[in-house]
Amino acid sequence: MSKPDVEPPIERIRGELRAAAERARHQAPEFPLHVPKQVELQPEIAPIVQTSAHAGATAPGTVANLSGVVQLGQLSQFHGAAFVRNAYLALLGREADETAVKAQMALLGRGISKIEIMGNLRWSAEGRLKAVSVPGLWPRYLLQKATHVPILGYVLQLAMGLAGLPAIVRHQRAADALHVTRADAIEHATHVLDARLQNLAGEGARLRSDHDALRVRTAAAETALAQLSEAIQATTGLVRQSNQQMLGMNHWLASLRHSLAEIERQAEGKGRERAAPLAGITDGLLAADANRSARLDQWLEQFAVGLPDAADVLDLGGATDWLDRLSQRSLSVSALRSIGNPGPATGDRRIAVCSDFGVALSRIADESLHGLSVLEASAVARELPLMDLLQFAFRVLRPNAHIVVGLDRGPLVLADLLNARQPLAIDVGLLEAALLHGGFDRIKRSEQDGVACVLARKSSQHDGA
Amino acid sequence: MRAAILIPVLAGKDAVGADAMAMARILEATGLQTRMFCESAENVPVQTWPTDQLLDFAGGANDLVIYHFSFGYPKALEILKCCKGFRIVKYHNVTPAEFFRDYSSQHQAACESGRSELPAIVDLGCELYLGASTYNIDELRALGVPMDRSGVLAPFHRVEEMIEAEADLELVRALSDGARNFLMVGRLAPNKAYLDLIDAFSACARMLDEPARLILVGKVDARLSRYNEAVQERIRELRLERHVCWINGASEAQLKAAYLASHAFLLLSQHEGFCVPLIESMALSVPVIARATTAIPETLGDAGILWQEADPWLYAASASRIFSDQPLRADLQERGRRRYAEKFSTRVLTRRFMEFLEPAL
Repeated sequence: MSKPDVEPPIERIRGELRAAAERARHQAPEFPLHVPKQVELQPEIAPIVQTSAHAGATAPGTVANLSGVVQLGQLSQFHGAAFVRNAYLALLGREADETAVKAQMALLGRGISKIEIMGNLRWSAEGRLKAVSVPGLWPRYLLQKATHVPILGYVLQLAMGLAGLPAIVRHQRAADALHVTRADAIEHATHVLDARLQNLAGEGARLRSDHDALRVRTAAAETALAQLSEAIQATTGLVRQSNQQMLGMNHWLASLRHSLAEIERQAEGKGRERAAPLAGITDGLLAADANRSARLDQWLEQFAVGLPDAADVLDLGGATDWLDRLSQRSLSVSALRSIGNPGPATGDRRIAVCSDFGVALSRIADESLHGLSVLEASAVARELPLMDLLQFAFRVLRPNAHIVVGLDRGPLVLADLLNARQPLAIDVGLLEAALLHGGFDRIKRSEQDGVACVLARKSSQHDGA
Repeated sequence: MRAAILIPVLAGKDAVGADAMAMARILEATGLQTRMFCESAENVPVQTWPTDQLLDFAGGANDLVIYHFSFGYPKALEILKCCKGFRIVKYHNVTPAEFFRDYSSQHQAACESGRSELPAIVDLGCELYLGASTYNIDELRALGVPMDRSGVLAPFHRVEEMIEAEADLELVRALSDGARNFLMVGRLAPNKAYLDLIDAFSACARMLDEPARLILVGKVDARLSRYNEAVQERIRELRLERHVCWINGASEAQLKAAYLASHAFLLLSQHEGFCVPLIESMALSVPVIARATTAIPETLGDAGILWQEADPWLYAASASRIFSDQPLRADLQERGRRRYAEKFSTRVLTRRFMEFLEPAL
């Protein structure tokens, strides 16, 4: 069986039930169209009180009376223990316990009439509280009680016996006829019973055989269950072991992450120390580049068009004048600089220094950026091959996000030159082809003062293959 | 240390009696000498003692006394005042008297008397008050019982014994005749809202395109004859005489047969302190459609269909949906069985009971 949903299903269909209820209210027939079969309960278990549908009926289990009135005939139809139990239920409203049944049965056995027993119950202290009405019981009960008075009672019984003699003789004849009929019926029933017993004996043998077969299957099932239980225990052990190992691994990874962070922190510190003297020189050189400001403004116009407010933009290289321009456009800007591309120290909090572009970029979530800028590709490419850069860009950029890749001579290139490292020469045509192949469209080249840059958009159709 | 269970009337088939006897069994099993004290006992297979002897047996500082409170019994207040040990009141709730106003002055007076004892019970400052439900214990908390001396412990019951018992197979066969059987278990009393139940069943029988039967398992109280007559009159008015099968004072075998043969449990009761038949239905996989009153939502949880309203057609539409939507039915049955096992099985209740007893033992 499938595991139920967390939300109870009824909450989902409550509206439908209300609609169905409204329909039924207007469409259902005035009364039920279908009637079930009547259920006949056993007399011992079906006391006088049942539904009033059958008021006046005398058949056991179908007599109705909830109104506190009981007819004599309703009770006197029962015999023996059934009579006693039903008399208790009807007259005292409770079941007779075994002691009471035995006592009343003993009275019946001594020839005490049902009338007297009913009267005893009805006018007992408990019966008076219940006060169930039994029409006709009182005079009969008084008469029965009077027969217990010495001498007078004997005379009364004699008189009653004599007066009732014709009726008794008639009842005797009727009883004889009834007994003969019943004896025939019993004989017939005995034959039927014999036949059924024989059938039952056959059925019993078949059941025994089935039972034996079932026992064999149960034993097999128990064995299988035991094996399954062992397997479950073994698997549980393995799962526990794996869980332990996983916890150990997590701990180890956490330690590793701490160590890496510490290494990066120290490397950043050293990089800053190394780069500090460069800042003054590169700042001077950049200030001497009279066209740089106009150039950056023009690239920004082309790069930022269409980007939403607070769009997430990442810059690789981190020239502060470019980052300032991005920030002024209300873009959410961050920058990465590699230890291998130290550049001049800036103290700019937007710039994070990493030991490896590849590692740092792999931590960025898929399709999380609106834009990516790499203005000094010839310096960055020394640390991160151009094709790797484009693959990374395709992964982290959202569909229709912007990218700008420039061959500018900014702080990183100047730092490389001052440190006697030659920036890589990048062919602009090849760069355009690589962008096109890498899933970018609307590729546009822009050249200012002999400095080229290529702008592109991440295609929403490309599958990234 | 000795333990005493105090209960005015101990009846073996009654929910309060079953709770009291189970507690006595558990306490005995923990090694405590335990006795049950009552004014009268009926259908009880264990020995009981007169309440006058309770203080001699368990009135000491190290003793434990548990009083089961479900109707007025001023003598209990006197006894509890004199007990020096750990006293627990288990509150099963007392039916509000107004339910009986039109039907029985005797019942009305008994309920009023029970309700009027509540402040005095709280004033006793017993060491622990337990409610059969949150609904019950909140009544005592509203009168001043502190949170840290009160808790909820569902009543112990005989569901597991019933599951093990043999059903009356003749009755199962007779009831399994193709008709849709709706079941209600509970004594015939006004707070059980039998009139609303008959109305709801009438809507069910009219809406279904197949025969429907309402099986009523509950004792008929002769003192409530006016209410009985009103119910009978409603059955006649709605022409349901041949649809209603009433089993008065059912045996355990008959009760189990009724559950086994039923397709839905229909409950429109207006006042229940817990409602044991709900957990019987859950344990025996009978889907429940019930009215969300008093403790019923808390007992049933998400294991059945609950309606705030008494609108009969909502119950009819729910029943019709349960009969036609097999996954829904299976889901309700599964939720019921799981809820019973997790919240109300004897094992769970025993553990909770022992947790409550920890400070005393």
